[in-house]
Amino acid sequence: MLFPTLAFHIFFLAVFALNRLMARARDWRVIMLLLASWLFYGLWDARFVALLIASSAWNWGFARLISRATGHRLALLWLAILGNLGVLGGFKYAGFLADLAGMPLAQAIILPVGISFFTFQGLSYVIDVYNGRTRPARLLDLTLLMSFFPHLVAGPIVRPSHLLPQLRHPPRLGRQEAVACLILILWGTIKKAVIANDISVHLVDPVFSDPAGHSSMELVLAAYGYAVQIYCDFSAYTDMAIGLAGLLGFRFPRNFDQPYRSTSLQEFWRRWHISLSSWLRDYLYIGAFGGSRQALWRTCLALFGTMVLGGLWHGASWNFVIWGALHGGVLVAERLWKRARPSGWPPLPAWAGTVITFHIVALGWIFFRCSEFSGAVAFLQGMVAWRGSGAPLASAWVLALIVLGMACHFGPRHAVQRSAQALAILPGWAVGLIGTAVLLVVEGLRGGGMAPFIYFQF
Amino acid sequence: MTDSPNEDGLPWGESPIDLADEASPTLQNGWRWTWGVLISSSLALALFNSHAIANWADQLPPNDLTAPIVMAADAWHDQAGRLGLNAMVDAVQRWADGARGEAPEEQ
Repeated sequence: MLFPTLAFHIFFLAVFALNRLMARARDWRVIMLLLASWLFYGLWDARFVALLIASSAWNWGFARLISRATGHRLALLWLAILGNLGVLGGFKYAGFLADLAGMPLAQAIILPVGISFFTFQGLSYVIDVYNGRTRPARLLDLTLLMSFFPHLVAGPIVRPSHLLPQLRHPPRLGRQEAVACLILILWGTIKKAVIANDISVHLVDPVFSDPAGHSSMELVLAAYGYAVQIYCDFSAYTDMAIGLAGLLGFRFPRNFDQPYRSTSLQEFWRRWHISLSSWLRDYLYIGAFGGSRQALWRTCLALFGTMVLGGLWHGASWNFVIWGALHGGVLVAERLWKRARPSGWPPLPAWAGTVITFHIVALGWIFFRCSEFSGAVAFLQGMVAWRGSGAPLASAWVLALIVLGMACHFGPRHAVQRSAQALAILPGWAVGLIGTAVLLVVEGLRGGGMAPFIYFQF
Repeated sequence: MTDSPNEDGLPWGESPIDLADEASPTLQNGWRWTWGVLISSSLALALFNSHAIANWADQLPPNDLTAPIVMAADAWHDQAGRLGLNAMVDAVQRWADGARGEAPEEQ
């Protein structure tokens, strides 16, 4: 069940009504949200609901053991972590590892939707309980944290310490908050259904599937197009997730903050997929590798290793490793340059930093988009060969969508909040009709069909 | 490393739906107001976006249970077309097809 569809609309109306009716029935409300989340997930593949429940029970059990144990707490933590990584590895990396060992699997393994997201939620819960950052939760609450449908399949990764306390209070929803949620859902629908979908169908997919058959200019445009597509696709999902959770009385963290206006790669990672980058920073870079309070070479190694593992989190492919290594390498170079830069040298203008950072990110997306290393190399060779052939594929419409997708990075940062404050003075029916008019325009603008969100595959 | 647990959940300001305190009592309770938005927009969409209903019905698995739903959805889509309720979506679709350089889709 995809968010911007009629089936989800009906599903959400029912959940919204029940959530309001059960606002003060604490546990029954949690049970209702849990059942709704399992229904939502089960419509993809009912078999994996059991995996979701087993994963929640595993993490709940180990967190209880860790919180009560007087000794061997670290051993219990490692056992919990290995269980989580074992499940993730079994589904996600078994084929890749078997290929590396020269023993390809006879049958492809079906990847449960969102397994990387709910596994990371479980991992952060047991680690936080071990570190005393969160109290052990009830099985019911933890299962909802890991299964809650707005963020179940593609994030944002919500920390236990951020969501579990919200379950203890009756939900509240102010009118301005409600408008902010509705704007996020509408804006997400526009980004996904119009911008990302059209750029994908009319430029990115045909060019990436046959780089040799397109001119260098088209390859360059497709690379820019994919940078815009992946932003509009992924940020659309998390905008909608934040808006939907907000309407049910839950506050989710911001996950994107105009990432392509970053003036360095370090800044980019504070603005892109914030919930994953902060997870990697806290649990891997600092928690496992020691962070920046150590010798410079070890800090650089920690940074590089974190990004390579972050690449592998996306999937079992050399291209994801290269993508992570490119980001890790540039982050290390930025850190070293900060130290080595002569003090008399003028700083790089902000616009130049933005242009350079965007192009490094766009280069990385080429490896991210191509399934094979040879495909990415052919794409890059085609770009630098500067060949011209065939009729131009990119129409003025697609170019306008790329420009629109980039322009929203340079608009006012608090546009959603300001619009919410302005619209909240209108009666509900009037806002409903404005929203309907926008959705009708979206329905007319979008081409046929709706591709799944890119991050569903992770 | 042991930190103290955060008892309040997500710190204020870290969610894009966080807005300044809503002083006016009419703005504090948004549930009823949100119902107004959801009901009015759902009815208006059912009226003016029969495309989505017909598309959704067409994707249902064909069986005895879904056949009447598909028939009703298609009938409503045809009726809405005759009444001119699909005009807005059709007009935008024609414009978008032209902008993409495609032949307009048959309605």
